[in-house]
Amino acid sequence: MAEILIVEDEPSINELIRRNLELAGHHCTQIFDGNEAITILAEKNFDLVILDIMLPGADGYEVLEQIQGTPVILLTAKSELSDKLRGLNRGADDYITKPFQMLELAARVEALLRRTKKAKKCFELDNVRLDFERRLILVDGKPVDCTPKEYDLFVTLVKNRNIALSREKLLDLVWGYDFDGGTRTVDVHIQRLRAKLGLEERIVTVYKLGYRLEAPV
Amino acid sequence: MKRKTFIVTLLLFMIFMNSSMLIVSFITLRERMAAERETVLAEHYVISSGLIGDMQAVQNRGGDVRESMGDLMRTYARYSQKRDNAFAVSCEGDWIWYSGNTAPAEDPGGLAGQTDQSERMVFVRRKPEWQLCVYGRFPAPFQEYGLWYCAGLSDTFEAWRGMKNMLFTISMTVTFILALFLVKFLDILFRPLREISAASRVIAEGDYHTRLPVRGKDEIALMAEHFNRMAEQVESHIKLLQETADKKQQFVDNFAHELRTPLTAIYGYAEYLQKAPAAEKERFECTQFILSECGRLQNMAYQLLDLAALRELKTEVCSIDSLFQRVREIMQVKAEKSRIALFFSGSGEYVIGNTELLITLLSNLMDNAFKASEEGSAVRVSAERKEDKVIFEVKDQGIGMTREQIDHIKEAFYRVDKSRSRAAGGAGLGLSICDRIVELHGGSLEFISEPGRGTMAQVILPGGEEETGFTTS
Repeated sequence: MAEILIVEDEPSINELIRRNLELAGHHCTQIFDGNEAITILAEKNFDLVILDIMLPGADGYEVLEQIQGTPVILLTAKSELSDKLRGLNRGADDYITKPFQMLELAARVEALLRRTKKAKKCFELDNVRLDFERRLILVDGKPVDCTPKEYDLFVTLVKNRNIALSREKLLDLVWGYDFDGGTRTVDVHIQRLRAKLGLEERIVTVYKLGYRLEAPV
Repeated sequence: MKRKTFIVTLLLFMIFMNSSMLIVSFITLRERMAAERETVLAEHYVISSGLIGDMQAVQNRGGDVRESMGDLMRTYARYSQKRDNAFAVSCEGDWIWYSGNTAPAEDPGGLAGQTDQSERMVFVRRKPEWQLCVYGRFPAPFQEYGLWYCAGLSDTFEAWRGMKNMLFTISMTVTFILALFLVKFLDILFRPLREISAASRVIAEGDYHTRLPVRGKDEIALMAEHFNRMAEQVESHIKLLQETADKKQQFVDNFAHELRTPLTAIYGYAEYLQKAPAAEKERFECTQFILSECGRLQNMAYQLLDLAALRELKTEVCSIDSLFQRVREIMQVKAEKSRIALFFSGSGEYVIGNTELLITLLSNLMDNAFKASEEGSAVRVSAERKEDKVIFEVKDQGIGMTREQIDHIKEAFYRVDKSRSRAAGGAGLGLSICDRIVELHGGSLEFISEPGRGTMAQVILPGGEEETGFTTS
């Protein structure tokens, strides 16, 4: 649960980012103008700023100069290297080019928060607790005996909670590209996780797509 | 080319020079031979007359002329010993005396037969060496006798040969000097050609700034001048093409950028709907975003089509009154919605142009005026004729623009205030379309504005003949 400031003048895209980040349990503040962004940044502390470059009022680079210590992800419509370098050189930590995918946004936000130690050390859902530091899954406080692949699968589901992940995507993320087994492997592991953690209701099958871990926002 | 000119010139020169040298030397030789002949004849005459005198004296003394010939001839032989001459005296078909060791090869009888009393025979002997020989018979009473005199020509030939060699040496030297001068001269002559060739190569490589120096007023200078004019034309055309290409590139870049925002939203919401657990309300909101972004894309597509379709112009005479009437119909609703007062002024005038396009032009300009205006302010549209021009003005009391914004305002997808303009549903192509319409009408579109003081858009169209408007009404 991080405090994130979204600075983007397009209401539709600002909304889109907010919805995506709230799926992962973050709390968002939406700003549509460069000058307003500078004002609110002076008043309040955020864990992360997602900043568009082309803004009315002060542009993204000007806002970037006002930000100290807070990690920034730049949102650019231009994919040219010079634009990315300009942003990165002025203190941005990462960038996302439009159009972006949900998983990409989630992964970059997650990575940046983890790097600045703002990511949570554990995740709790019902009576299940995931301890990232000790690489343990606990049910009712007792460690569950699970294989490394089952653990990785659960971590992937937790990190992308509320987002449906296809079997192929899960294979890529958990087993890696060089894994030869079919998507049945994913189904088998999901069944075992559901049984071991008692999350039959939470890990839902999404029609034609894959699986999604549903956690209340 | 240069080498050819060099070789041909040199060859021609050598032919003329050497042949004239040859002619000169032959003429000289002939003159020398003639002079030699005169000398030989004169000497023959002197000797024969002396000899006749001597022979007469001998005869008078009663001596035998034939016997004493050796004594008589000795003095003459001595006289001419130093020169390479030879004498011989014949008598009745025999050589009775001769200088040197051998008698002349000619048959004295034959020689005597070929000459008569008064004439002397002159001929050239070639063997054993070049010699000029004279044979003449003595007059009576010594008609049986004849004197053969022969003078060597080797001196003459030697002198002639010397002269000939000298002439050829001079000819060769002159040819050599000429060759040097020719090289230098051709070098100078061909320099402009070389420069032109170098310049055209540079231009061919893409550097269109190159110009040739123009010297004097000859054909080459004229050619250089034409070449420069050509290069100028090429340069300006290339520049124009470059500008057009840059503009197109700018347009494409802006277009791609402009496409990204709706695409990002549409893609993002569709993915969200597919992957996230969305409730009924959220699904509606997401689809609403997708629909409105699609509407924006559609709007952009229509405007692009409008812009692309603006290629030719069908003009007619249109009354400004009816033009304003139709624009008012279109814009009234919008004006009321934004609570903006609309004023039209100027009537009875006519303008030559395409009515539909002029309506698009005015409504686009007014649309921009509305966007810049606050609620409760006024937008004034006026038309007036000044000399042969018709001037339309659209004035607002809105936020105005800075100098820099005015410079960019006609570029496709440029927005003075992008969030406002997008919220108002613009694609950023309105003024590009206006500019194109005005351009097609052969007019101009200017903006006069100051931040905070409102903007005036001024369209100046050529009005055509003033009478035209009234007669066709």
